[in-house]
Amino acid sequence: MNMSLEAFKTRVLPTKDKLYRFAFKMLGDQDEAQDVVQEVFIKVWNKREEMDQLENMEAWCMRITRNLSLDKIKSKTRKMTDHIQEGFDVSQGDGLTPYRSTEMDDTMKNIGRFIASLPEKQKQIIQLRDVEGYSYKEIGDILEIDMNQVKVNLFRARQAVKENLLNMNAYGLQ
Amino acid sequence: MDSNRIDDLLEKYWECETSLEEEKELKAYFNKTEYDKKYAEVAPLFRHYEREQKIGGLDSFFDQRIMAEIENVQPKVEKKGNIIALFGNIAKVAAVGLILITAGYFIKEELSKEEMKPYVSDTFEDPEKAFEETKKALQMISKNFNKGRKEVRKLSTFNEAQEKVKADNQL
Repeated sequence: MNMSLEAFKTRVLPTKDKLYRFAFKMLGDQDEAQDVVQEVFIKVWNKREEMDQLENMEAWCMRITRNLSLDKIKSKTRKMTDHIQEGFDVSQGDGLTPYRSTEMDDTMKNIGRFIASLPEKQKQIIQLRDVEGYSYKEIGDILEIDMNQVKVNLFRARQAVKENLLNMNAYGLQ
Repeated sequence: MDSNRIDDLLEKYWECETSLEEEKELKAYFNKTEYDKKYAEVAPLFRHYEREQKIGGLDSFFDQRIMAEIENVQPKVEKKGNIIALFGNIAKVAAVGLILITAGYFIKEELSKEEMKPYVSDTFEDPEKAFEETKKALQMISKNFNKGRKEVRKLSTFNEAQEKVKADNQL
């Protein structure tokens, strides 16, 4: 059965922020990330006849987002730069006192920077698991790797993050 | 929440043994305004993840643009597709019809050739039959020949009469 315009609106469109965040993490550029999401949606629409056969449409969308982002990166052979990473941290703290808010913000910024510096696969897995809450199987589908690879990389990433937290603490960022 | 529970969950979290539900529980706990201060080191991590998940960036203008684009794409593609498919089907039927008609024509031609052959070039296989047929044919010829001779005889009588008249005149 064909996907109707209504089904597209209720089932596909709401994934836009997840797709956008993922593309943005990879590309570091808002406009490019938006272009990628748009391209993904048009792909979905053009293939709407096959969409119902997909086991997990959202994971499929994420995978296409990743592939299109990789294509963009390849075509430009660009590197993530520091000012891009700072772009992630524009949102406001929530309801904390100004003093604590700043302190908390700094720590969170540091964490963000540290995660952004992880190897590409670990960074993507952190984004998919700890930020977006995907299952191991879904992450495997999205990144096109097996579940053991997902677990190994997540384990390494979390260990690195843990160590970083302890170091930050020990060297007086608290 | 019981801090033993959080300790357990955290330990499992670092070992990647927590379920998605348990990870949600951790996130929820550390994003409350009040949490046990002994977790001051880890809390920012889960707050960071929570905040990352709230980054939007695609507003309703984006939705409108996508929907407009899709609605524009839809009718064109479908119409074109239908027309092409229709022509394709008609062409298929026509092609098959053409092949059948042509094949039929040649088969008919071939059959009619074969039907004509015996009249044109057949010979009798049984010598007796051949003999009978030949005899019949020869008899027919002799019969007609005799018929002709009868007529010729009439002519000769006429000729005799003419010569008699000539002779009488000379006398």
